[in-house]
Amino acid sequence: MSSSRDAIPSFVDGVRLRRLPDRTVLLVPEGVVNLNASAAATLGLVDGARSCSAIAQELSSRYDVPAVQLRADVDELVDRLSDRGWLCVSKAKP
Amino acid sequence: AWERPDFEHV
Repeated sequence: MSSSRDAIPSFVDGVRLRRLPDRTVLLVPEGVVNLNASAAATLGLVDGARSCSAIAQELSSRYDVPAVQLRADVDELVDRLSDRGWLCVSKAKP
Repeated sequence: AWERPDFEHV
Protein backbone atom coordinates (compact mmCIF):
# COMPACT_ATOMS: atom_id res chain seq x y z
CA MET A 1 0.00 0.00 0.00
CA SER A 2 1.25 3.47 -0.74
CA SER A 3 0.07 6.64 0.97
CA SER A 4 -2.07 8.65 -1.37
CA ARG A 5 -1.36 12.28 -2.03
CA ASP A 6 -3.85 13.59 0.53
CA ALA A 7 -3.56 10.76 3.06
CA ILE A 8 -3.97 11.72 6.71
CA PRO A 9 -2.14 9.43 9.13
CA SER A 10 -3.22 8.93 12.74
CA PHE A 11 -2.27 6.64 15.59
CA VAL A 12 -4.52 3.66 16.19
CA ASP A 13 -6.03 3.10 19.63
CA GLY A 14 -3.41 1.97 22.13
CA VAL A 15 -0.50 3.59 20.29
CA ARG A 16 1.09 6.72 21.76
CA LEU A 17 4.13 8.84 21.14
CA ARG A 18 6.19 9.22 24.29
CA ARG A 19 9.09 11.62 24.80
CA LEU A 20 11.71 10.24 27.16
CA PRO A 21 14.68 12.30 28.40
CA ASP A 22 17.07 10.88 25.83
CA ARG A 23 14.83 9.75 22.99
CA THR A 24 11.31 9.48 21.68
CA VAL A 25 9.54 6.16 21.46
CA LEU A 26 6.24 4.83 20.25
CA LEU A 27 4.31 2.84 22.83
CA VAL A 28 2.45 0.02 21.15
CA PRO A 29 0.49 -2.91 22.62
CA GLU A 30 3.36 -5.27 21.74
CA GLY A 31 6.03 -3.17 23.47
CA VAL A 32 8.10 -0.15 22.57
CA VAL A 33 9.28 1.13 19.20
CA ASN A 34 12.56 3.03 19.24
CA LEU A 35 12.55 5.92 16.76
CA ASN A 36 15.44 7.75 15.20
CA ALA A 37 15.33 11.56 15.28
CA SER A 38 13.73 11.93 11.87
CA ALA A 39 11.02 9.38 12.63
CA ALA A 40 10.34 11.11 15.96
CA ALA A 41 10.07 14.50 14.24
CA THR A 42 7.71 13.06 11.65
CA LEU A 43 5.45 11.30 14.14
CA GLY A 44 5.40 14.38 16.34
CA LEU A 45 3.40 16.02 13.56
CA VAL A 46 0.89 13.18 13.27
CA ASP A 47 -2.29 14.52 14.83
CA GLY A 48 -5.06 13.00 12.75
CA ALA A 49 -5.55 16.31 10.93
CA ARG A 50 -2.34 16.91 8.99
CA SER A 51 -1.89 15.16 5.67
CA CYS A 52 1.37 13.49 4.67
CA SER A 53 1.93 16.41 2.33
CA ALA A 54 1.43 18.96 5.12
CA ILE A 55 3.78 17.00 7.39
CA ALA A 56 6.45 17.00 4.69
CA GLN A 57 6.02 20.74 4.16
CA GLU A 58 6.39 21.41 7.89
CA LEU A 59 9.51 19.24 8.10
CA SER A 60 10.93 21.00 5.05
CA SER A 61 10.69 24.30 6.92
CA ARG A 62 12.62 22.82 9.86
CA TYR A 63 15.30 20.96 7.93
CA ASP A 64 17.17 22.16 4.90
CA VAL A 65 15.77 19.40 2.72
CA PRO A 66 13.49 19.67 -0.32
CA ALA A 67 9.87 18.87 0.48
CA VAL A 68 9.71 16.35 -2.35
CA GLN A 69 12.42 14.23 -0.70
CA LEU A 70 10.79 14.54 2.70
CA ARG A 71 7.46 13.55 1.21
CA ALA A 72 8.96 10.28 0.00
CA ASP A 73 10.45 9.62 3.44
CA VAL A 74 7.18 10.48 5.20
CA ASP A 75 5.21 8.20 2.88
CA GLU A 76 7.62 5.33 3.43
CA LEU A 77 7.50 5.69 7.22
CA VAL A 78 3.71 5.93 7.25
CA ASP A 79 3.43 2.88 5.01
CA ARG A 80 5.79 0.83 7.18
CA LEU A 81 4.02 1.78 10.41
CA SER A 82 0.57 1.21 8.96
CA ASP A 83 1.70 -2.20 7.70
CA ARG A 84 2.55 -3.02 11.33
CA GLY A 85 -0.89 -1.84 12.42
CA TRP A 86 0.31 1.15 14.46
CA LEU A 87 -0.92 3.89 12.15
CA CYS A 88 -4.08 4.19 10.14
CA VAL A 89 -4.48 6.37 7.10
CA SER A 90 -7.61 8.17 6.03
CA LYS A 91 -8.38 10.28 3.02
CA ALA A 92 -8.60 14.05 3.33
CA LYS A 93 -12.05 15.50 2.95
CA PRO A 94 -12.45 17.31 -0.37
CA ALA B 1 20.43 16.54 10.24
CA TRP B 2 17.62 14.85 8.40
CA GLU B 3 18.09 11.15 7.81
CA ARG B 4 15.81 8.44 6.55
CA PRO B 5 13.17 7.89 9.25
CA ASP B 6 13.63 4.50 10.85
CA PHE B 7 12.39 2.54 13.82
CA GLU B 8 13.10 -0.63 15.76
CA HIS B 9 10.45 -2.61 17.58
CA VAL B 10 11.48 -3.80 21.04
